[in-house]
Amino acid sequence: MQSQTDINKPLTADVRPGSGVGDARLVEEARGGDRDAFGELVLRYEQRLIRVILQFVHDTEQARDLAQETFLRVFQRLDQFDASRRFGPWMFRIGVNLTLDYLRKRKRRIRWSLFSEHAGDKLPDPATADPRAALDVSQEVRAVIDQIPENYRSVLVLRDLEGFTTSEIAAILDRKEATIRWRLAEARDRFQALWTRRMERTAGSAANGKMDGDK
Amino acid sequence: MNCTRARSEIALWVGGDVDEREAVQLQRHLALCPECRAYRCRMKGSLQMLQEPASPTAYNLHDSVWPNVESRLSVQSRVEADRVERLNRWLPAAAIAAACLAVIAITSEPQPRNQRLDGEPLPSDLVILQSLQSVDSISVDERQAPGNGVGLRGGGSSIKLNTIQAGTMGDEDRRLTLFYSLTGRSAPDRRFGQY
Ligand SMILES: [Zn+2]
Repeated sequence: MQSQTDINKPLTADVRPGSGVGDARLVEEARGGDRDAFGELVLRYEQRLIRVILQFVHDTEQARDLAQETFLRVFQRLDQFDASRRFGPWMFRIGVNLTLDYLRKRKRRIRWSLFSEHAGDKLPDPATADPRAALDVSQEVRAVIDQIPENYRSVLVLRDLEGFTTSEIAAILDRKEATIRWRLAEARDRFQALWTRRMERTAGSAANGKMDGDK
Repeated sequence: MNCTRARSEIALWVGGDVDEREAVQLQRHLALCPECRAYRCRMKGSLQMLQEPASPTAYNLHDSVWPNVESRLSVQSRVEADRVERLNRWLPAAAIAAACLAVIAITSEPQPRNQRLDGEPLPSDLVILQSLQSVDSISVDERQAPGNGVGLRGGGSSIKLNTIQAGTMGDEDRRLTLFYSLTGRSAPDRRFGQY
């Protein structure tokens, strides 16, 4: 497998270089019980899927597990797939829904076990950590994204981190494109507001820290 | 274009998500509105930060998940095949001896005689057997005609009589034979009633 992750890869891997077989054909064969055809679809989409899931769960092993679960579910539901539609968005929809369900369950679990909170369940919050410590921008960004409500967050992640088009996101999330565009604008606005506030706070506490250090 | 509208257009514009016509309208508003220009500036900066870490978090896949998926698909289909095979072979006794209360009294409606009596389970039998799951006692109500008062008891829910009544079960002796072979018990001496 010559596989490197490519952020700009189109959502539908219609034809794999060298294979010449389209998704639709592979789906048809997989429906007929051809495991290899399904394997081909998995190989086509797994990297992109895992990357997308990783944007939500931040844990490689967990993302791989969820991707496996997604493909199993996809296989079980091949009969329900409308062959006149594109396979990619349908598959991503199953994956994203599975991931969001997983996150909701985990959130509930964490709420239930507030007293035994594991450090590993949460990303560190750099704004409350020692401001003199080196700031990891991607962690900062992550922490801000995580504060955005799910409806907006999923659109933001799929568009700005994963590069899906708004029409692709509409297909994945099963919403009208106008709704996706509205949510995208709202999500970016929220990110911007949270980000600005966070930067101001970080700058403020860094300044205080410096004064403390000067004393 | 008012400021509210302009802001959501700006939020889309920074990511290249507006068409030409919308962009022109937006530019017109921006030329006149310093607040929205400031907003555009903040929005550009934050989107840049947002998109920045996209490449470092890129995930390089070394091992495909396909081998795992494939083996789980194989397990699934093996389980499915086993299930069918078990049913076809009358579910060995072990598989149906765990929980689930199933009290079944087989009523004495005359049954059509056009069924196989060679001991092969019929489709309606299979439905009942699947729901039976487990049986831990068999009782025979002596007040009923032989075979009509057979009860199967387990530890869960009960099965409605009409499940059986509605079916196309064969004659009671065939049913009894079936139950005994499923539960691994030998055909009882009816006089004892309970076993
Ligand atoms: Zn304005």
